[in-house]
Amino acid sequence: MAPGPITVLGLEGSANKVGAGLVRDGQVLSNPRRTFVPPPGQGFLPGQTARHHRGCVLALLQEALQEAGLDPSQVDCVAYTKGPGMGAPLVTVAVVARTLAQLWNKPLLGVNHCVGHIEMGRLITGAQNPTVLYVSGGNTQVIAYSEHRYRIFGETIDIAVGNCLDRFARVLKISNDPSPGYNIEQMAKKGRQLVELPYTVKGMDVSFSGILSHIEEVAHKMLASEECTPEDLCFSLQETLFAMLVEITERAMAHCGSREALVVGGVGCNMRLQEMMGIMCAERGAQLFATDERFCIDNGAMIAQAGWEMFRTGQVTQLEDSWITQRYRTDEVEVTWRD
Amino acid sequence: HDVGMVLGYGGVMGGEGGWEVGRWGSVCAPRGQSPLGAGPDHKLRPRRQHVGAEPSDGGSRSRLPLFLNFPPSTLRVPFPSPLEAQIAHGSLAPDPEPHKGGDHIPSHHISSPRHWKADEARILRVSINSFLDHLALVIQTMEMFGPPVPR
Repeated sequence: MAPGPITVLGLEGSANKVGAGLVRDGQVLSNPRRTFVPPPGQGFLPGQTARHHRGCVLALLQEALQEAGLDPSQVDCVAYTKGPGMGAPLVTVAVVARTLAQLWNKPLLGVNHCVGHIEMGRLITGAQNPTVLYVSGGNTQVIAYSEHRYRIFGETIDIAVGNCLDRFARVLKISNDPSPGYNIEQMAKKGRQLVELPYTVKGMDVSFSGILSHIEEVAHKMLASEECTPEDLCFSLQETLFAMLVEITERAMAHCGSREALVVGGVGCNMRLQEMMGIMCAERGAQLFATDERFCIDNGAMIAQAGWEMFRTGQVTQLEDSWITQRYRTDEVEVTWRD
Repeated sequence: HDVGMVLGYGGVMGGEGGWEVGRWGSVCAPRGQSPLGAGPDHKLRPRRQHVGAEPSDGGSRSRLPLFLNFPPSTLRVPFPSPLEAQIAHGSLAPDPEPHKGGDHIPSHHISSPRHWKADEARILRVSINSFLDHLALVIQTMEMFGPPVPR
């Protein structure tokens, strides 16, 4: 690779967030983001989300360049999210990335979204070789690095933990602004009573759909009979879901002999989850690393950072290979930048 | 102008009750070069009856398509230069369209004219709408971040 600093533009838009970030050799120069917020009781649909992204991605790009004080000629590579995620929003952002790369005559780089989260977490926290808990609206995985792959030790066998929380928020008509998970977290702080919910850890894997069905079924009855409050339900759901996640993370750490845990993904900015993970790590004599909402929640800089690592080890994506894919597992990526 | 993007589509109501649709997006090359796509891609699948074609299989009358005479239509979007037209094509070509039943047309076929079947006119509409949305986004991107650097 050519000597001198490498500047990478990262474009992200795999779910309801669209972001553009510029990273130069481990330094985040800019990282603006916009979120599509559907009305209470509704989720974000691919078509609507793609329309939202189309409407603001170019303004975001300009903002990112301006904030970084960069001219397009100073960008060395255009990275974008190849997958996994929702098809329509992914294509929208990929189309812009391809056009930019061709206009500026720069290499293009398709990045795995999950790898983006991991690399951003490592960059911001300085964790060397952590066991990663990746928790978001679309993904729930426990990951450890070995032999040039991020290996998935455990994962959800149905819906993601964030999806479970989002859909529970819809049942109670909790606002999606700024995000359903954030509002559940605030309500949970006022919960007083632990409602018993199914606890579904299956070996190294977890299942959330049964818990969601259960709570969907009992919520309105329990609330009507004043057996519990909405706050109690938020509290109980969080405690149950997070206990399951902590259990499988701890098992993965024990298996790998890991002394570091890193939480990434949108749910990773939940302070209660971080607190529970922190207790587990303290008991094991391990260290917990987490980031705040700027870098936990989907953003452009994380794609730029993973792209930077890939680019400096010689990876590029040819235009004809730059198709997006809704399914793209973390362990499909060859990690060329780590020993 | 010699350079442009062509979007064409035509449809027939098939005898089996489905819509058969051809659509192609391609860049017309400047005069003297062969266009990057004209006519259907025979490699993708055996052709069925298309708009304007005479039914060749006279024997099985019950399976003859019912023609809805949509004239094939063409949309030309001019670009200032062959390079920009090439860029637009390059940006739109790589993503495979989801095929009926989730079957994707392999991406390397996409630079040539493409065809697919849709069971409902709705699916055709969604597909063409999304193609035009992406085309508009490419043009906006060029307006804001162009012109292309000389090469």
